[in-house]
Amino acid sequence: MESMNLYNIFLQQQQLFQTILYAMDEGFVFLDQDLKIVDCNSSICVLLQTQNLKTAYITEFITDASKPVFLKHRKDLIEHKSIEYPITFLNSENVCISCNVKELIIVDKKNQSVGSVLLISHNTQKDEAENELLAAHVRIEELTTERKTLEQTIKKLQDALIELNLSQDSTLYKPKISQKEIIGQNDNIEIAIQNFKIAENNISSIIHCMPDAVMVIDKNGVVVAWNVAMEKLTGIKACDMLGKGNYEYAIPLYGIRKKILVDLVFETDDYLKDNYKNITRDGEIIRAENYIPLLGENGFYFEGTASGLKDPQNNVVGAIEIIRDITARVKANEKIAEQQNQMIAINEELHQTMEELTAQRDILAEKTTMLAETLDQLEKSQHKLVESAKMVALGQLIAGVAHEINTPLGAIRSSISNISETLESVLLNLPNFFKLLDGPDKMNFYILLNRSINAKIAITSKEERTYKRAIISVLTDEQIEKADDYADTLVDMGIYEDIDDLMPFLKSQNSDDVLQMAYKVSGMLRSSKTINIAIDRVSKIVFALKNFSHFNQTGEMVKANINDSLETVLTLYYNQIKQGITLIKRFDEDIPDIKCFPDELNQVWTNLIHNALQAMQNSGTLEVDISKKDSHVIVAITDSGCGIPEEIREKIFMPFFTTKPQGEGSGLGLDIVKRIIEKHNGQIQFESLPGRTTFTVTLPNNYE
Amino acid sequence: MLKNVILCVDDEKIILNSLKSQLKLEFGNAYAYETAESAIDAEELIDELVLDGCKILIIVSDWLMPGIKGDEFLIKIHKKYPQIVKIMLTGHASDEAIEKVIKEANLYQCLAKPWSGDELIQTIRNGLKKI
Repeated sequence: MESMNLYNIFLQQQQLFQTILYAMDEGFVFLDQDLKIVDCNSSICVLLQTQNLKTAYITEFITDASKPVFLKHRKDLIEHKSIEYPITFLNSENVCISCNVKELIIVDKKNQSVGSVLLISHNTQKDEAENELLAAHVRIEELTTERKTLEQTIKKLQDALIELNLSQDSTLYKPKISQKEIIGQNDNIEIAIQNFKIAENNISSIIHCMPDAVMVIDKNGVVVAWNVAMEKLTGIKACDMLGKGNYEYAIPLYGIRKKILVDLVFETDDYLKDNYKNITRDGEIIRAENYIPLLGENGFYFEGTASGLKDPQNNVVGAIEIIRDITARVKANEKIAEQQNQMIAINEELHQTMEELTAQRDILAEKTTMLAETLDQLEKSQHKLVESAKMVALGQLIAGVAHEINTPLGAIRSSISNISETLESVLLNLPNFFKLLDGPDKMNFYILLNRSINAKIAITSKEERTYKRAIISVLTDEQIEKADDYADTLVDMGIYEDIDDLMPFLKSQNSDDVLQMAYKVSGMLRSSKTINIAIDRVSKIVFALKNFSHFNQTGEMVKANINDSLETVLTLYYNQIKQGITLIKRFDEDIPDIKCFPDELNQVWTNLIHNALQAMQNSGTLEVDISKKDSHVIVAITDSGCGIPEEIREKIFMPFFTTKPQGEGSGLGLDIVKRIIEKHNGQIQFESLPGRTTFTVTLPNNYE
Repeated sequence: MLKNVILCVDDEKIILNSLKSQLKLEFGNAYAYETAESAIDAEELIDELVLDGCKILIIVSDWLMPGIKGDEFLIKIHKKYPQIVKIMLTGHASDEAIEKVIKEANLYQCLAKPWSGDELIQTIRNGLKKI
């Protein structure tokens, strides 16, 4: 019951509160945390001229100016719990409502803010002021916009005035707006003059701003225009040039007062042609290109255009000259011309070089042909040389060979003669001889014969003499009378020693006769042997000759035995070899036949042996070794001569190299030897020390 | 022993043998017959013989020999012993060589091998007559 009462009292109070709230003039708003209007009274609705405020955001009704303030106060509110501040609202008709606000924070049990209560009272005076201010702002905005528009218009007008139409045919400046128009528009001379002055100014501006140098003179030659570019070009300021006449303007250009292009505008064509080579007339305009050494870095090339200024009545009022700097262009052209010339020169050079090369190529082709021909000839000559060397070698042998054949023949003939002589006398006398002989003497006869027959005859004369002296001495000791003759005969018979047995016989009476007969009879045998030896010799020589000069018709290799080959050559050189030279032959027994050109190999051995004998000066030791290795035959010829000196070792196989005095030997020997061996796919090497030089020839069997 | 010597010089022993036999058969013991296989040997021998008191009447020499050739040999001998009758008996000799020996060594005769025995004997006889 009590609670009911309390509740009723609360309700009553609340109602009262609400009535007050809603009735009062001041506005009353409940805001939640989000500044949304939860509840409000009618006063605020009237104030803001809005019925449905609930669920609207209060910020919607705050002027832009006030918003920041309002938002700032949120913080203050939380801090101070209750705040008071002015604020300007904006009603639905966008009218400013100035108010004072008292705001109270609403907290929950936990002391957290859940919203606020605002009491809003209207400040009408401020209102008016505010509104006026706002209106003023708007007005200012409008005025500013207006002014901008005006300025744009002005600019457009100015641009229109500035627009020029300088056509090439016209020397007159045609403004877009004619003077008449300008004047006509206002029909006020003052304004017209003003406008004209404006136009004039504009023209001046244009002239001044042009990149080319421009000058204008009036009909009296006084400078009325001198633009910035001209100032830069000449270094003379416009203020120093304007108003000056008497060709003042020529001074900075040419150093003296004289007529320049602008002055020549009104001269006749003929005058121009006669005096100025570089000026051309083109309608009303004259053009020239010229060079001013005084100006610019290294002089100044320009293109000048000048024309007269005439009024509408065609009266001369002045002249204008425009000077365009073409130095860069001229220089560039010069450079191009230069480069072109260079290119032409290079091109010519190239042509020439091409021609030279072609000529050289032709010469080369010619030379190549010549070389080929020469090579051919050389090969032929070489062939001939080899052949003739063969003949020379052969020729050298002929001398020796004749001797080698005639000598055995001589021995044969004289031996035959001896036999026949002996036969004649012996045959006749032998029977009688035997009759007269007694037994012992017959015996002695046969003993002597026997000993003689079995004796070797191959001893030297020197050895014979030695034996002979010994026998003489023995016989003389035995007081045998014809010691010399007996000794001579005994030795001739081949009885050299051991004659003690014969001593009794020699002392006997018939010794002389018996000895003589024995000598003669045995002599026939000796002669026969001599004949046989001689025949052997001749056969060998003939055989050797045949082998040596065997001409290989087919040009193909044939099988031959190297041992035989060397034997042949050694035989041919026998007479040179035997005296003073010791020959040592070491021929391997089973040397296989090889395929070769036998006559050419003979030349090789001949040459090497010949060289060896020469090196030894026919006194020393000659060694000839034949051996085999795999399928190769190795022939080594060694002499005991002085050797081959270091300095010529490289050269000995070179053609025409010889150590012999002029006339002796062609120097081709070893060269030909080398070629022949190469032809046999073989090799030749040598080793040389003083006292021992060996040439080694290795030959393959050439079977394949 | 005073002996008259006929000297034969040739590098071939078979020549020396047959030559000596030929001369010995013809002249018998009238002369001593000496042989040498080279010019050097011959020179040595000649000096020996002369030293021994022998007289060399005739030299029969070959031309083509190893070492010193016949012409050189005979010219040398001629200088030393100009009275010796010199005969060349050769298998081969160049004309120049023969000319030379005739001129410088007073060569008595040059015979070619193979020689005719008669011709040789006759030449020697004639040569001996000169002495």
